[in-house]
Amino acid sequence: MTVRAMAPSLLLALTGCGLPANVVVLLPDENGAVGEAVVHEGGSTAELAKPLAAVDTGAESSLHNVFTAERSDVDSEFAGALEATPRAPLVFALYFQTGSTELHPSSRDNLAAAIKAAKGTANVDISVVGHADATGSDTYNSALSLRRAQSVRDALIAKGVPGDIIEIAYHEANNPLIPRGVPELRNRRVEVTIR
Amino acid sequence: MTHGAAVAAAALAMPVYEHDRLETGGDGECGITFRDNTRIALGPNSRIDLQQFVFKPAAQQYGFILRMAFGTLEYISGLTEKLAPEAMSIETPGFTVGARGTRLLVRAEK
Repeated sequence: MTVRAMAPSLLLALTGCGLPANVVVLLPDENGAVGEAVVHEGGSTAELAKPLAAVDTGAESSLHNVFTAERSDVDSEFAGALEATPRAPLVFALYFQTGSTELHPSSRDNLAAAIKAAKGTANVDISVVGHADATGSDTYNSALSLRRAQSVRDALIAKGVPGDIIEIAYHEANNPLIPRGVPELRNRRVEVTIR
Repeated sequence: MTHGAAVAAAALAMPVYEHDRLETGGDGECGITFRDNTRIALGPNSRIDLQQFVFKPAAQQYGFILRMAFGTLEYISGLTEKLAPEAMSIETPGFTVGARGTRLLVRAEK
């Protein structure tokens, strides 16, 4: 008797009758990578770790039921948000000559591309991050990476990019944006991110 | 978009600040890119408050709390989640979501 009473709601879940009103769905990112999410409600927790893993967050009791959402339900019920997704930030890596704020010739085209992207985007926010070699002292490296970042910012401004949307960061011994121990040329660089 | 006491229609390229509120109507939708590369998008009939946004990697200070009152939200993680996942959360009246390097959809009913 109990099984027969339960069957209709089981069937409902299996035929994919749309997503719950309150729901969290895990999606792969644009590169196909999947992270993980943890949902808390009251004292309960649900973990999502696979693409389209989802959970009904309507009540604490529904949290234990992690299911796989239908892609078609996701696309239709989240159409507005999915349509309005901002594009990923554009990142340009610019390499420098050793111990200098002179751009490496191989990076000149990339600088031009960064400038074009900065000027061609309607809503822009830019960060210019200076990295430095692992060789040399930290003080020397910090100063050099700052000067490199400044020279890139100056180049952007000289070509008409507004200065007030550009934020500079540079190598400092503990800056987690800039890990150490990476091969030389890669470290003699400034990264321009255009959002 | 509500910033302090001022309420205005959101426009492309409008800067957005900590404590601002964003609300979409029946046919509205909008997307925001944050300084730490996090991206969000709101579907129609949604409201969120940018409860907290602190991103200072050099000082190792991070805090990113989105409070969604209702609606549909897409979230794509950025550097805060990479560098300090415990500092990032999405809160709704009924539940809270924390994540690690990922992309999420959240819907909360009014």
